[in-house]
Amino acid sequence: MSRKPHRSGVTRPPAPKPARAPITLIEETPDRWRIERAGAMRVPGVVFGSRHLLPARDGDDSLRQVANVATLPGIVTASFAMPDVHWGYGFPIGGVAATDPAAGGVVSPGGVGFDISCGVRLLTTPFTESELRPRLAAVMSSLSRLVPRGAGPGGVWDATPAELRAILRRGSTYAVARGYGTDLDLAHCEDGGAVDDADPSAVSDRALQRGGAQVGSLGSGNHFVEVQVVDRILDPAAAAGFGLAQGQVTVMIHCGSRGLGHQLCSDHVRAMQDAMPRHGIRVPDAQLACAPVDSTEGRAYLGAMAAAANFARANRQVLAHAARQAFRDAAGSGELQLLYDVSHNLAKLEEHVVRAWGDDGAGVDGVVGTARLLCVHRKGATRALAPGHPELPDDLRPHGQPVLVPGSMGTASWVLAGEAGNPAFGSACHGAGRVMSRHAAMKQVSGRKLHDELAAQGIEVRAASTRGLAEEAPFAYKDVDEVVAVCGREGLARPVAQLRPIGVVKG
Amino acid sequence: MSRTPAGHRLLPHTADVRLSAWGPTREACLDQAVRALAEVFVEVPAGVATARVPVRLPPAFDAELLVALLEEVLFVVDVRGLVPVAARVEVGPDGLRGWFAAVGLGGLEQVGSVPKAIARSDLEFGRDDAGTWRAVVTVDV
Repeated sequence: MSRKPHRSGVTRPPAPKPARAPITLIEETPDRWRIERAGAMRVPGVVFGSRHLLPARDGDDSLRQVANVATLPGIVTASFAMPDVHWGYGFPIGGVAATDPAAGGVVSPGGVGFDISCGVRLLTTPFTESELRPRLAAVMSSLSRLVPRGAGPGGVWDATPAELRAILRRGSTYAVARGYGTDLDLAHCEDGGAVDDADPSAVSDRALQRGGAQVGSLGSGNHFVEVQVVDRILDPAAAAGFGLAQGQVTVMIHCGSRGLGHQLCSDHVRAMQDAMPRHGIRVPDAQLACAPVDSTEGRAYLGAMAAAANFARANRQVLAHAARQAFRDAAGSGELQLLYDVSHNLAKLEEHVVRAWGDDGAGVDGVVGTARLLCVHRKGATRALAPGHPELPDDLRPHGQPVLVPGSMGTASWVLAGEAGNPAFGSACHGAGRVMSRHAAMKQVSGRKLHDELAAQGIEVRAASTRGLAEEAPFAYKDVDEVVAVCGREGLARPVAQLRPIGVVKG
Repeated sequence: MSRTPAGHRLLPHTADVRLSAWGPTREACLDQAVRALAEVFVEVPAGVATARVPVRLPPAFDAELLVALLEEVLFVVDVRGLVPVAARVEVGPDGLRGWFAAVGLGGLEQVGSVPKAIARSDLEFGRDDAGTWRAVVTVDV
């Protein structure tokens, strides 16, 4: 296709793209594969997954995306893909990459994604399945009424501009201060419920306008509030430490930073696109636009990203408040304890020892074997702190950080725990991972039929759109049990408990 | 000018949505892209639009203009609760100006995941050798 210049002719044509490197996949173990360094790749790619889980050669370009990420300036060790990896834009979904800011390492908004700090929160209830069953339909209807979802404005909390600014600075801590939860919740949130160094001034007016009316809203797509039952316990000590018992009812909330985060990511991708020539950076995919962490654009993005992350944390905190109210109204007790809240779309500055992968270089000379402050991008990947980590609260520390893995609709979700010696900068999977397009899923089953099938399995579904339900059909995803098993075998995280859904509120 | 009629369709993508639009002019292609974006998540009966939403964008290279226009659609959905279902726009030296034909969310049936953002991966917008304007865009849902 010809790219004739715009007739106003005021902006530059796109930068030439580096040549695409050929992909070579080498089996390291039955659950781990290496993409050899080639072309502009600075480090190898490492893909976790059994042969069955590997992305299809046709119709899924995620391995190419793993290789593209390996070209980012300052990347160290490897461009990693978790077992649930699938085709995204820029980064693959399920991608993990760490860069060294002291060596010109970059931050890329595409390595976080549009839904900044999208994540999962899991609450335990005082009910067993048999105790809740008679009231389940009422609980689901109450949740459906209290949880705003779908398109457009509308949230539990209609925040004023001043309140929104406070949310951006203080995240869940501000939501709790305003009555949406307790201090006990904050101890069980990643970062204590708020990311430091948030810079609300780096958030555009457009992003603020989109976010102001969406505090406490689910959104759409694969986001949900699910009522679940602890179906199987694999690590009794950790399960007990996490407050999980066989047959216990739990509530899982999966959502992110809504329109505020989406707008903010778009704003900063555009700014970085414009700044890349000045920094001498070229990337093989426009959505990998990036800037050095230690640059005006890099710092602005990280400050804005932290603000959006705080929005996402507050969003889940407020939705947890709605869930408590629904249980109080319909089941007689709103005593829902927060097990943990953790995001799976974020960049963080973390200290890690840089290693070389195999015989390859680590991307940056002279840093192998040293502890460095790295910018760790996790896009569709969950941080997984090992047992004993000082950032964990006292009651969770002996077991490792809970890693919350939502399954596809109607299938199991999982609780895992961080492990010592994690090979991917303390990261694990974040879900099942799609294998089928939404279009194809809707061709195979109608939303109504899927709804009826789930009902026949004893799962109460409340969907914003019955027709849209088909997009999230379980067969459109990888086998989450296999994804979790690979995490266990490769030392990414330790399976603790499997959760079975009994009620779903879908966006 | 190409005689190709305007149109659009949605293409498979594992996690997101790819939309394809075409038309005899830049403006017609932009209009089709807006129509396709609406159809990602709502059913749009003919003649449903009840509101006009003005749109004005600064001058930009074509691909950026396409992204900016589609981002404007998502902004209108999030902030005003209106879904732009068509675009009547002119592109000139001062940028893009015109209006969206829009309808309130409450008047539409949601049939799919709501778009979050417009990605720049494998973005295409330009005139092919036959003179038809074509756009291909990845939409995060």
